[in-house]
Amino acid sequence: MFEAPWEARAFGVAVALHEEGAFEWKVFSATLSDEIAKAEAAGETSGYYERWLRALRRVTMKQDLLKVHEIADRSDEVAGEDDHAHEH
Amino acid sequence: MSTEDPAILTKALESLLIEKGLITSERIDEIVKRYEEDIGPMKGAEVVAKAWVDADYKKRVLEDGRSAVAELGYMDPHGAELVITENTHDVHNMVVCTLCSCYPWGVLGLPPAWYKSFAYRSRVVSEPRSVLKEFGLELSESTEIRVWDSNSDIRYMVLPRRPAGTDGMSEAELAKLVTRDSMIGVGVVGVGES
Repeated sequence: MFEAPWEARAFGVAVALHEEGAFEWKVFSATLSDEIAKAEAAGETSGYYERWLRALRRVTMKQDLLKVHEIADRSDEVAGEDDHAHEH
Repeated sequence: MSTEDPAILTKALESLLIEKGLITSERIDEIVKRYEEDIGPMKGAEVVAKAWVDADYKKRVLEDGRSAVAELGYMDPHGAELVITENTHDVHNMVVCTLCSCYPWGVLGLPPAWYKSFAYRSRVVSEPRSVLKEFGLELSESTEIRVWDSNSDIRYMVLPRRPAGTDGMSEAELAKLVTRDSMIGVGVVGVGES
């Protein structure tokens, strides 16, 4: 069903936010449709959950749950931790 | 490592949302487990089998799918309408979501990969007969094919035809014959296959 652990997490995060009332599903669904349409128009080979994840990032910003710089900073931190872990 | 790595971005979003108290890690675990293990096409199969043996239930299924499946305890997680369309001798129904991947999660679980593919979504409306042929289903030219395009407000499920030679079967035995593909409309229910 999920091809990588992150796909299951990205799925679960979106559904959990919806269940907690953070956004209506149609808001997420419309954003996902838009990401799919853009990727297909560009002839991208990105997978379904990569587009799902882009939609999730967009919706969290649009609903004012997260700020763009917070996401960028945290991504850098996570990437740094991963690189560090790889050294050992 | 790039910050566009999806595993990294997922971890970043998840950790920030948890810190803000919007979701919990346990809740995400529970949701993933629910969709991986508990929710799937066996729910829809139960609805189909009941509709086959109970004419009153079938009437309710066709009139108001959402309420009829709720009688068995199945709810759409997004509160969408559920329309259940009946296959007959003359009409074959099939379901798609041309824009993304809307699908009746509450009765069928998460959609298979092909349902989300560009190939399926872009071709079903214009050439349903050739798509069905690729699924191994050849319908007679006189059969009308109706394609239902799902969206975030309305989900669709097909009520397949009950196969011949199943008169003596119990509801539970019938439910075992009903495949996921037959409820999406890219297959039919046969005896001895499932």
